[in-house]
Amino acid sequence: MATTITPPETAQGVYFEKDIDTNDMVVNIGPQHPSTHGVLRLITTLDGELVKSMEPVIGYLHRSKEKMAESRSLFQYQPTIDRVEYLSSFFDHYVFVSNVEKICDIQVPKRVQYIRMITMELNRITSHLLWFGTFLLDLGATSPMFYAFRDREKIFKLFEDLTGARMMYNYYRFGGVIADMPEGWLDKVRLVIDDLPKRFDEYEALVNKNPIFLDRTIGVGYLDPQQAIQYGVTGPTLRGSGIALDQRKTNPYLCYDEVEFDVPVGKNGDCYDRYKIRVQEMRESIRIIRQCIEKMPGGDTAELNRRRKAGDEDALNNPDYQITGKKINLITFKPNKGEAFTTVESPRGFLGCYMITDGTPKAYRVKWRGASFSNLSILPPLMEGRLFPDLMAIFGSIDVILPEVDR
Amino acid sequence: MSNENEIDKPQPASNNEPAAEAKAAEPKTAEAKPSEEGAEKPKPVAAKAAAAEKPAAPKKEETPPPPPEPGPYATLLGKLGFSPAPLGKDATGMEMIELKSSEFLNAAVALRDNAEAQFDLLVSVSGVDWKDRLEAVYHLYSTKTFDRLALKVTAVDEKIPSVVSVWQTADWHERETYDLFGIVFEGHPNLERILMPVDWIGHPMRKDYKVEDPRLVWNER
Amino acid sequence: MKDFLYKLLMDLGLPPELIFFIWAGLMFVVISLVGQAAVVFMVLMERKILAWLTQRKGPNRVGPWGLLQTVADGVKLLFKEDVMTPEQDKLLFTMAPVLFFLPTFVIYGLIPFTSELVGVDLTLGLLMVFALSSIGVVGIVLAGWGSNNKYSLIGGMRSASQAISYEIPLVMSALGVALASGSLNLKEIVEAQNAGQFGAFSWYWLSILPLSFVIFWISSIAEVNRIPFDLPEAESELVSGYNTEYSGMKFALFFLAEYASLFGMSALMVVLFFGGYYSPIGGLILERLGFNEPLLLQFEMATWLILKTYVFIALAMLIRGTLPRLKPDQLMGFSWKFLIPLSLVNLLLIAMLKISWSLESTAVISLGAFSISLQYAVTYLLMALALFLVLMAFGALFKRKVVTRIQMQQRTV
Repeated sequence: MATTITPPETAQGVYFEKDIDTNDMVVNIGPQHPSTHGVLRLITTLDGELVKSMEPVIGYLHRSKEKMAESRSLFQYQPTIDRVEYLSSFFDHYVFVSNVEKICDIQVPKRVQYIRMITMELNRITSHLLWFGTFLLDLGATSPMFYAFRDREKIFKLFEDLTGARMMYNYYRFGGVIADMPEGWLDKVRLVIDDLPKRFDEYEALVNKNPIFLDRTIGVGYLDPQQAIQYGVTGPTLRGSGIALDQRKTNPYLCYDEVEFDVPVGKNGDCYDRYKIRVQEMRESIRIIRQCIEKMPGGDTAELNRRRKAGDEDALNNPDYQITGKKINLITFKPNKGEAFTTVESPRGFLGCYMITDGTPKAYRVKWRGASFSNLSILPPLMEGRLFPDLMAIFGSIDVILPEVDR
Repeated sequence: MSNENEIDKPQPASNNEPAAEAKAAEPKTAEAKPSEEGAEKPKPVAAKAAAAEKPAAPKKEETPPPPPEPGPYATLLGKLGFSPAPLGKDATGMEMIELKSSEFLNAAVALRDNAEAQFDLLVSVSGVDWKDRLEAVYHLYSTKTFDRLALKVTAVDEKIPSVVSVWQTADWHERETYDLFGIVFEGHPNLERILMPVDWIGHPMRKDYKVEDPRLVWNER
Repeated sequence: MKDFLYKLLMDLGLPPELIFFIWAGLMFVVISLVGQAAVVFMVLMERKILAWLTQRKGPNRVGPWGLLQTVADGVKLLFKEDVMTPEQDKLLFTMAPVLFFLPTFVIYGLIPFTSELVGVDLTLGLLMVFALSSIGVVGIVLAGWGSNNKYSLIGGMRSASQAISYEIPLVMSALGVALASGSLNLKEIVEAQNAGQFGAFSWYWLSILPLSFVIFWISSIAEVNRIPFDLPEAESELVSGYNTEYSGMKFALFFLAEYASLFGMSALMVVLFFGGYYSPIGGLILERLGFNEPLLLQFEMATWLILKTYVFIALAMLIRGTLPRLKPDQLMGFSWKFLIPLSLVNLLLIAMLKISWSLESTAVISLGAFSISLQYAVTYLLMALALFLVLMAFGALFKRKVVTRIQMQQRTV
């Protein structure tokens, strides 16, 4: 534009200059914005529709989870962990509880380990399902979100049966879980996971061949694997770039070395690969859950209770069948002195908890390493020189959840 | 507990070396006093931790605990000309190494690039306030060997060289540690507050941080 | 009715020009009231259809089956505070919704709902409709500028570029209709379509202009800013695009006008390609059954047109529930690299067809026992060419993606 547009006097705001055509536009996306998935602020410099630079501003959801740990006993702190990352809080609980177990050298019964695996994998599915819905919502497709939420609801029903809560579970305890599975719960799980793969097929049929979806994701947001590692990106976002880094395989925790599953790995490192990998991961999770149900020590609770009533010595006393490894009085519980750093493969990548205990009921230091925190830092380099609408595809595909970023 | 001894081992060892530095730094002697007073009372937690460290010093001369075995990476760093102090293993079996802040940056580059280490992924940077000193713990991960390593660096004058040039991840993690602990990472391109508001006063994760607002004091009991 | 009114007013001694204006004004009021009602129903219909698509129930609390939901929403919007910040350009900000709203309703007055019920039966009706529908974009751009909001500004700019890109194929494809029917008058276009004996099959969407219809449909969805072309108000990027800053009645005007323009475009499509107010079996069913009461026949005509219009509205709503949104560059590319060349070729084909049929040729091509008139041969040839072009074009559009999709593979450790 050669002519200079002079806006009327009233329209000259902070960023409005007289020569509007010579300036880049600074758009303040968020903290309240439909597609920032929470309260993220992105200071974006736009040249027309082209993103010139982007600076994420975080901290709007900072709730001092780490400071809170220093003023509560470990047991009192536990319910608040759910809020560190509320979409997959079983993982948060696991890293926390696992730290204490390792510091205090508590042996965890096999049955508990399998219950934890089932819950965590189910939780991975709910998390990915939510991601699936919101990712497509970001791209402008409204319907898939409702389908995803419908299936998520089924799994939440299972969680409600098991823990009494739909999102804030607080189910794990040091050395075990709070209560055994309800009778017949495993059958319910089996019903749900038999149904889910059909649903995933439906979703993929709905989405995978959609030319607009392919246009918006294929080749968009290419993430170089070396750059990804440099920025500390982990999880499906890293695997989309072709690096098969899954801690369930590489550093097996719980009983992940006893079950068979594949790690889907992308090739092109674009949004489409990341989408594919997450959908595939849900299928692998179902595979893991199916094996866990089969291998569950003691089997279903109904079966176990029957054997116990009949006086079966094995069912009564086998340490593998217990739901806690050590009787702990949680009110007076004092961990040993020591430190531990447990990381697990959460739906978003490495979720870690660094804990230093000093022999008092409280932790001396708790540090949460959220996968989203590092994953989000890759956004500015990915967005540079891309179109503004690509922001939604790229930001959606790296699957950031803000409570985990800010903690 | 059987493993209590093992876990205790690193603690005195980590106190040994930085003790001299802490004395030189000296800014925190004032805080040592309230903790001594607190040692009599059983309630305050933070004081208790300090009390646990205090009596460890005289004990040391009577029965010096055996120094922890240097792990493979401590040996490697030693071979490369650094002077790492092995701290044994943490509860998850991860090797821990204490590094001097002066040689930390070079050691980080070595750990990333050396063919035997290849720690290309910086998992997290955590600050720890030990009351007499500030410490940063770097958790490393190798995407090649899948091994894990913890590096501990004590801040000298609350300063630690930044490793943003080694691992880009450190950018935000160091900003967070600076924000919450006040450890200044020298050479960081953009060391600003990240989680707290820009105009926040003080570093909230420090043990001596006091909330002035009376409405928030409930947290201090 | 028209005659009755004319007679009445003539008897009163009014000049015919004034009577024309009175008649037109009356028609406009009637039609826009009917249009408002149609919009109110459309909003509910959209919500119900989207709910049905996503296995929900949709609004079902206000009134039976939620029929009064939109009315309640409208009342809420009426009583809402009209928020305006001092930084906004008051004149443009207030003018924009009106400028967007008015043309979409004026279009109603041009569409022949029945052979009699047409507000202004212009000779250049088709041209007038496009002229009016372009004015609406000015309203969006002004809203984007006057709001003093960056999202609005981007939305307004997008809207302008989108309107420029998609009006060309829209008009090009409608030009094919004008060529085929030989008229720009909408009523004559309807009558020309129903001159054939095959009812729905002799309408233009199939008989000679299938390609025109496809281009027109795609462009019309883009013209009314609906998913997948709803870039000016892409809610995941631009919050709400050009109407981010609007509230209360001003927002309601935008909201109404969007649906009104969807109705207008769908009605226009029915008029141009789907036989307007005639039944799918050709002519009118009641007339065939022997009822010749004019009012009854008029009523049937209106019913057919509105029924067909709602079919297309429903299709647009299904599309909204199914597809993601395009990016601006893809949107432009799709129009300039695909639709516009295609519509040009289409226009050329129709012109050739028209010429071949207007020549009074009796030449016959004989191939053994099989003989065909030259006109039919040319027609079939052109149709085959058009089909081939369409297949080629869409093939080229989708081939790239299919290839890339196969390259993706799963590897395990």
